Parts: sequence; C-alpha cells; structure tokens
Amino acid sequence: MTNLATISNHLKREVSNAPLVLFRIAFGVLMTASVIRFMLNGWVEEFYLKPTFHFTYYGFEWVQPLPEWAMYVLFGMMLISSVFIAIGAFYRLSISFFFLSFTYVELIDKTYYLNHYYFVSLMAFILIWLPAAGRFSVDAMRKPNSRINSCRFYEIAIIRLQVGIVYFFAGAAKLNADWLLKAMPLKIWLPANSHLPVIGSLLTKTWVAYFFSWFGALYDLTVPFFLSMKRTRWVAYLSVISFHLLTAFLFPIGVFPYVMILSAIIFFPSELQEKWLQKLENWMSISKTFKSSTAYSNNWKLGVFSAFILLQLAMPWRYLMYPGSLFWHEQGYRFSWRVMLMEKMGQATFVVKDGDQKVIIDNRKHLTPLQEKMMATQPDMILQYAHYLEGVYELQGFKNPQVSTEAYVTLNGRRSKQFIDEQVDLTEIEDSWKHKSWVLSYE
Amino acid sequence: MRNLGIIGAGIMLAVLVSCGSEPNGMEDNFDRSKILNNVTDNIILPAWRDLVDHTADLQSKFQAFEASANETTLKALKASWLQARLSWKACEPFKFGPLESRGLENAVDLWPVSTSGIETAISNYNGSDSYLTQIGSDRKGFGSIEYLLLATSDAETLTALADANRKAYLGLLIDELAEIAATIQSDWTGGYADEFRTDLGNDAGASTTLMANELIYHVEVTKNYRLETPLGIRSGSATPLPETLESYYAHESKALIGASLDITLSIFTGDQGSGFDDYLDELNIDDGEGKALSEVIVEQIQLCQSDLAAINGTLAEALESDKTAVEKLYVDLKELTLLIKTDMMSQLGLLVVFSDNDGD
Repeated sequence: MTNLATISNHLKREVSNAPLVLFRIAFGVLMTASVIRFMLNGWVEEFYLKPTFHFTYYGFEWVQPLPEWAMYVLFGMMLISSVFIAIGAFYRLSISFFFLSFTYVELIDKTYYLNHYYFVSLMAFILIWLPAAGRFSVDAMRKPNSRINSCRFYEIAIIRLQVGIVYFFAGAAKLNADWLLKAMPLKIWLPANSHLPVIGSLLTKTWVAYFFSWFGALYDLTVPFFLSMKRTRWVAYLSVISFHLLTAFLFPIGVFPYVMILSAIIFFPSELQEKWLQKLENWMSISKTFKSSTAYSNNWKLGVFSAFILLQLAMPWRYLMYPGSLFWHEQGYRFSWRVMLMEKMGQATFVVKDGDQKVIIDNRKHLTPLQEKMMATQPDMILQYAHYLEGVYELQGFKNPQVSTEAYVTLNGRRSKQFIDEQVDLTEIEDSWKHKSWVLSYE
Repeated sequence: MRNLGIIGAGIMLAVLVSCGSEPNGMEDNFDRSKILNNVTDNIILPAWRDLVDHTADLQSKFQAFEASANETTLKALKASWLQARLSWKACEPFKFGPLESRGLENAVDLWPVSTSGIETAISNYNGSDSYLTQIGSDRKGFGSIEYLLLATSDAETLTALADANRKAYLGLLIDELAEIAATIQSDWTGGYADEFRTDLGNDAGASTTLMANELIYHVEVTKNYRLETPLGIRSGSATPLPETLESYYAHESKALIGASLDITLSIFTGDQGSGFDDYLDELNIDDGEGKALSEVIVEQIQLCQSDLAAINGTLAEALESDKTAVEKLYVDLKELTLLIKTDMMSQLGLLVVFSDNDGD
C-alpha cells in the first residue's frame, strides 16, 4: 500500500508543463501541414466522395460520409482547429473538435487505415485532458489569470508511454521468422528502390536487407528505453531523426516519420524543455507571471489514463485469441502497431448466383482501385463487400443472391494460395469477433 | 546507445564478412534501366515499326483493289488485313504513353463492332476526309475492316464494295489506321522512348509500373473478353456467344490470341535481353516449392500456348464442338493472370495503384 501511494505521489508530483506546451505546438503544426497535404492531394474527393461503397469498421457501420460540401467544410474546420491547437486558441474546444472530426473521417472507411492515423487519434484524445495551452498560447494572452506553468508528471508520462508503446510493439511485431530469417519483406522492398542515388546500389544487396531487418527490430524494441535514460538520450534522439528520415526517403509513408520525430521530443526532461520554452518566452517577451499550481484532485484523470494505457498494452495481444497465422487472416492485426511488416497482395473474383442465374463481378465497377487492392487481402473487407453485392443484386431483382469468392493471396513472396473457401455463401455469414473459419488455413 | 552501436557494428561486420564472397555484377539485374532499354529497343520500337509497315502495305493493297476490284486483289487485301492486325497485337500492350495521351486506345481495335453502326456510317458518308473523327470506335479500326471484307463470301463482298460509299469508307478506315501507326511510331522515336527508358522509379506512373500494369491488363483482356465472354461465363449465359469473338467474321481469333501470348512471353522474358524474369531471379525468393517464380510464369505462358494449339478448328467451331479445350485455355489463363497480377507484382515492389494512399 505504501508503495502504491509512493508511486501515486510520484506520478502526481508537480513539474514544468513545457513538454506539453511544445508537444501541443508540434502536434498542431504537423496536423495543419497534414490536413493541407491531404486536401491538396485530392484525397477528400478520391477517398470519401468518389467511392459508392465504404468499408466501415465493425460496430461503426453508422459512420457515413457527409455530402460533398459538408465534407469540405469539415476538412476546412479541421484545418482551422489544427492551427488553433498550434497557437493555443480556444484550446479545449479546438482539440476536442479535431479529435472528433479526425476520428470520424478515419472511421468512414478502413481502406485507408494507417497506424499513424490511429496514433494521431489517440494523441488528440489524450491532449484534450492536458493543460497544454496554459502558456505560450493565445488563450494565455486572452486570460492572464488562467496562465499556468506546471502540470502533473503523469500528464507527460502518458505521452511518453504511448510513444514508447508504439515503438516497442512495432519492434515486437518484427520478431517473426519471415522478418528475421528471410529478411522479408525488406528483401523485396529495398531492391525496388535501386534507382535512388547514392544508396541505390547498396539496397540491392541481400545483407543490407538482413541488416535493416535486424537493426529495425532491435531499434524499435530498444529506442524508447534509450530515450528514457539520461546518458543515451541525445544519441537515441539523433538516431530517431536519421532512422525516420531514411524510411521517409525509402518508402511512401507520408507524414508518419515526422510524427514520430516530433513526438519523441517528449522524452527530454521537463527541466530541459522548461529552459527551451523560457528562451522562447524571453525572445518573444511573453510575460512569465503564472498562477500558483492547482490543487484539484487528479485521481479521476489518473484513473482514466491508467485504464487507457492498460488497454493500449492489451490491444496488440488480442491476435492470440485466434488460431492460425495472424498475417494471413489478420484477425487482431489493426490497432497493434504492426507497421510496414508484410508484403501481401491478392485478387478476389466474386460470383453472385441466384437459381440458374450467375454473374461474375467486375470489382472495378463497385470499388476504387485502392479499395479493391485492400479488400482482396483482408477477410473482413471481403465479407463486407460480399454483403454489399448481395444488396446490389437484390435491387436488380435477384430473389436470394448467394455470393462466393475465388480469392488468392501471396504473402511475403510465397506462391499465392487460395484465401477464402469458395464453397461458402458469404451472405450467410455475419461479421463478428469470432474466428473466421471460412478463411482457408495458411499452412 | 554505445552498446547498441557496438551490437550494430558487430552485426554489420558479421554480415559483411559472410556475404563478401558474392560476385560483383550479379545484382545488376535489379537495374530497371536494363529491362527498359532492352524492351524499348528490341520489342516496343520494332513492334510499332512493324505496324507502320503492315498498315502501309494494307494501304497499297487497297489501292490495287481500288484500281481493279477482283477476287485476286480482294484476297491480297484480306491477307494484308490479317498481317496488319496480327502486328497490332504486338503493339497492344504498349498503349501507355503516346497512344493513351492522344486518346486513341480504342480507335484501333475494339470489338465486337456495331454492324448497324457501320452501315449507318456508310450510308451517311458525306465525302469528307475527316469523316471518321465523328465516328465511334466500334465502327472503325481492324474489326470494322474485317466486317467489310470478310462478313460475306468474296463474290458478295465484291458486289457490296462496288458501292462507292462503302469502298470509300473502307479506304478511310485503312488510312486512319496507317496514320495512327505512323503518328504513334514517330511519337515513340521522337522522344517518348527516351523519356520511357529513363524513368526508372517504382512509383505509380514510372515506366516499369506502366509496363507491368499493361502486361496484367493485357492478359486479363484475353481471359475476360476473348474467352470468358464468348464462353458465356461472364454474363452467365447457358450457351456460348460466338458473336462476341474477337474475329467473328474472319475466324482468326485463335491466331490473334496466339500473337498476344507471344508478346506476353516476350515482355516477361525480354526475349534475348533483360526482362522481368531476370529481376525476379535476382531477388531469388524461396517460394517454398523449390521453383523460381520466373520459371513458373514462363511455363504457364507456354502451357496457354499449347492449350491454344490443341483447340480443334476455329474458335467459333470449338465453342460448339470442343468446348473443354477452350475451357482448359481459359482456366490456364486464369492461373497466368494470378501469377502475374499477384505473385509477380508483389515481388517487383512496384506501387500498382495510381491514387496510392500512404503506407505505414
């Protein structure tokens, strides 16, 4: 009991809130750039307006895209809220709106699921509850008596833990035979970049694929710890920068590398970040009068955060509840920091039958190329698509359409294999958390 | 971190030593410029040149026919039409680039043609040289020439072509093909070929990606529209649909499919030079079955070729009397599609989808 109390006191001790403030600014700036990039790429239209059908998440089938004008208004507001987060204006409102709108957009279609989008949602959620705009913000200028320069240690620790969890589980996921013993899929991905200047020819070497595989696994597993220790912190952070810049150079992974480079700053100690922030405040001649720390009870917040972290620690393990190969059936694959882990490609031909009638489906008529590509390798999406086809053909007058698929998938360079039991009428199956026995076994 | 550095250096050193004996130059096959140069110089450019020659020949045979329409000149014209259409099959996978940017992908060879559309176009012909610009793709190109030359017996064809409008329309169709061939060939030699061979990336618009995608598309077209549709599988028809065959009037569908399989094999292997097969061999990925993927793909193409040779009579006849042989080709083409579309593409590390989202 004393130990628990000691831990609790340690977590609740008062420290400088500079790390939160700097994190908030970085997050806001990055999200601003990210939303602008998303819109400039035409992805709002391409991902959310063009498709006639969306792959919703289990339990979130009610999430549907808005009409075109509303979608753009939403993105516009998301952009404004990102800017407001960066400058700390109407902070609680801005970050709440950002969290809700960003998460809403992500929930529309799992085709576009990316681990770092999930990370952004989680971070935005955490940030709602943190005093990250207590200083160096528009809010602090507007309401001088709300200025604060301290926070509770656990409010910083939760970000560190979350970032650490991302790295650690990304590393743990790499501890598999394909990754370590066959250097797959890097053995495919690296030579594909042989046209790059300087390092191009190096990337075609087999040993480089093995080196990257092993180094990558070791790096992900250990870097949160090296970032946490004083002696190694700077070197670890420099390696964070170079590692992520290298991956940004090699792979089309969007803003992910920059998200991680900026997030890892959170590991620098509060006292150090306080000095950085004070320099900024001096330079911009911002008043440094702060109200004394609050004496509010933190217990509920500490409780919520603990539950949050426990959930995060548990999520990546849920695949253990399913038999067979995780990479093959992907049950419990998402929300687990399995990043750039496998080379998987497939093709699925759907057949709709009704009595004597039989139609072979041209997927391109119903899905965008990206949707089709993602669907072909993920059983839950195959099932959703089959149910969608059932509806389409019911409207066309089929009485009792049966939908089956002849699907093949290749994983990490192995010869493609049949993926789904083609005898199964997928319209008879409802998605659930139960094991999908209609996915053929990998072995 | 110091420890990590030591571990890292140790691993690097160990791997360096163990792989140091790898002969240099082996990895040159990853160099996509080798594939692109070879395919451009030895396959693509000759294919377009051939098409130019054959469509020019078609023009001269038509002139001879115009000068004196008889069975001999008609036979020569028909033979020239077949040679030209076969030479087009070797160009068909290279629709990207000039042909696509000029919006002419369908103008050369779209089937089945609209016979009523062709008849309307003939009777409405106004004598203008640019008449074809307003005519849809299913009323012109190789398929429409086939309809005009081969839909009826020679005697009947000669009678029909005595009609000035009909003959003039045929001449326009032939001239247009020759013009397209010449334009696209000069686009290629006049700059696009160099653009193509120097875009070495692996992104969605890069040359290797274009070529691989077109290779897939090409095999899929053969599977879906040259076999699946006539077999009646695509629409769920209980009986075959021979009228949807690529060469319904001339009964040359088999020869055309054969030409397409030949060019498929050429692109994949690069003939004598570098092709996708060399890239795959260099990756040297253990597929768990002890056979190189490139070998499997080559064998599958050859299997399709022998399936095709084993079909008795014309394809239309076989749909009636030798359907199992046609279905065998169809099934093997399905397997080939799978091998190229998933297994090959997966190993090439190309970004197939144009609107690719970020990965993670």
